[in-house]
Amino acid sequence: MILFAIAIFIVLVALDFSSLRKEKDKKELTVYWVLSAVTLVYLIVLVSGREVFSPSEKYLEFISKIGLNYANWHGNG
Amino acid sequence: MSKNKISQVQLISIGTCYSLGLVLIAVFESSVTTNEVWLANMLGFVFAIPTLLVFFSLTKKFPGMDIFQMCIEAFGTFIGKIISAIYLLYFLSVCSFSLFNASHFLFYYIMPDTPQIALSAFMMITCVYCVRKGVLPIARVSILFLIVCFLGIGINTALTLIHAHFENLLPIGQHTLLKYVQSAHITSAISYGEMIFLFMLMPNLSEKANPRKVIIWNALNCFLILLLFSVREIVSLGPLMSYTTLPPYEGIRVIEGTNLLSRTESIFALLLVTLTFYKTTILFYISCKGTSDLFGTKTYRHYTLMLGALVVILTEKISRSPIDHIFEGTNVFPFGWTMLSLILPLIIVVTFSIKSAIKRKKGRLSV
Repeated sequence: MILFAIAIFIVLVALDFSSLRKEKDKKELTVYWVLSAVTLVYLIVLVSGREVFSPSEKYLEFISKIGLNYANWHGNG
Repeated sequence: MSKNKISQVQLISIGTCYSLGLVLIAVFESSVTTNEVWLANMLGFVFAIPTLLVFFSLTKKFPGMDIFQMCIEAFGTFIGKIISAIYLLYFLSVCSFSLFNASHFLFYYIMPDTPQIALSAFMMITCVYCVRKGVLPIARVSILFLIVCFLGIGINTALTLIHAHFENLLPIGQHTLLKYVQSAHITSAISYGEMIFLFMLMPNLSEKANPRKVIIWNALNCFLILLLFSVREIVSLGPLMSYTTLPPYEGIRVIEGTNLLSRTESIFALLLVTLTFYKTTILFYISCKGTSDLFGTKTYRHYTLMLGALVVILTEKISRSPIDHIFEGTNVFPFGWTMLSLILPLIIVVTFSIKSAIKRKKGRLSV
């Protein structure tokens, strides 16, 4: 499964890179490699079955922790 | 009209398609106030007035700018970019939620043997294709989608009215005040608050268009759509609506006219998939454009596939189940979304006004 997912990822990288190769812009390449690295890390974490860090989930958890949660206000937790 | 500009009508139809895609699938408020959700939707419009006024103020103070440019203009480059990154994460998250809703509907009701991640991935590949074509084809197709969708909704609503139980709309006033406030807050923060996405398309709006009219028309359309769907669900499902995760779909499923008119929910399924796909495409376009703006690159086309893969991975883990999603949507989302659609834009407007006033004062003193 990990190998299959990584194979798909390599195909995606190759497809995007083929369009980027003509640009020869350093900034474009940097952004592209950073995004690829982030996606690869997420992919490995997802496939390995561990908890994926989700910014929106953490944000909503934070909102809930500071008391902004209707469930608490209704008095039923 | 210049080549890459979209018209006022096109932006209104994009907003209406977005609202329809949201209302068909996000049914948070109906689980709070059940048969009085129509009342809460009306109250929700009143609650949304401050948000709409802040949006008007943004269009006046920052004409033709997107939300990222507004942040930089108000807070300077460094803090502006940090706040822009928060907005980018917001758009990526809403895109993931939208993809989750669409793929979960397909998985749960239509293709239960296909893994949900495969459905998300195929849908995202189509989104990537659309986004690579640019905003103009996405805007053009919205009018076509809208005509088809209104036709489908019209047929479904007419069929629902055959067996409507209008007595389900009563009694009113059976919930606590906090429940009405919660339901209205959900409506204002999610249905109207998410209209902030329109600001990411404002730079593409033609010079002749009036951004305020776009906001007013979208808010009115959203109000009418919410009211129509809430009344339709109540008269067709009654008390059953609080026991289902997708009342608009279940409401259509109970229609039994003649043998010829059975299984009319397939029309609704088609509309739902079309509109949630459209909503995901719009949000994905905004996320790609936002990434490009944030990092100052020339185009977003080179990393659409990468971002698409990231959204699919986030979709897989964004919500454990639709029940959890509804719980978060009814209790926590409204606060989180209010911060991003009302509080932060208000801070942008106030900061910019103070900065402008200081500049004017300095200018007068130097003269």
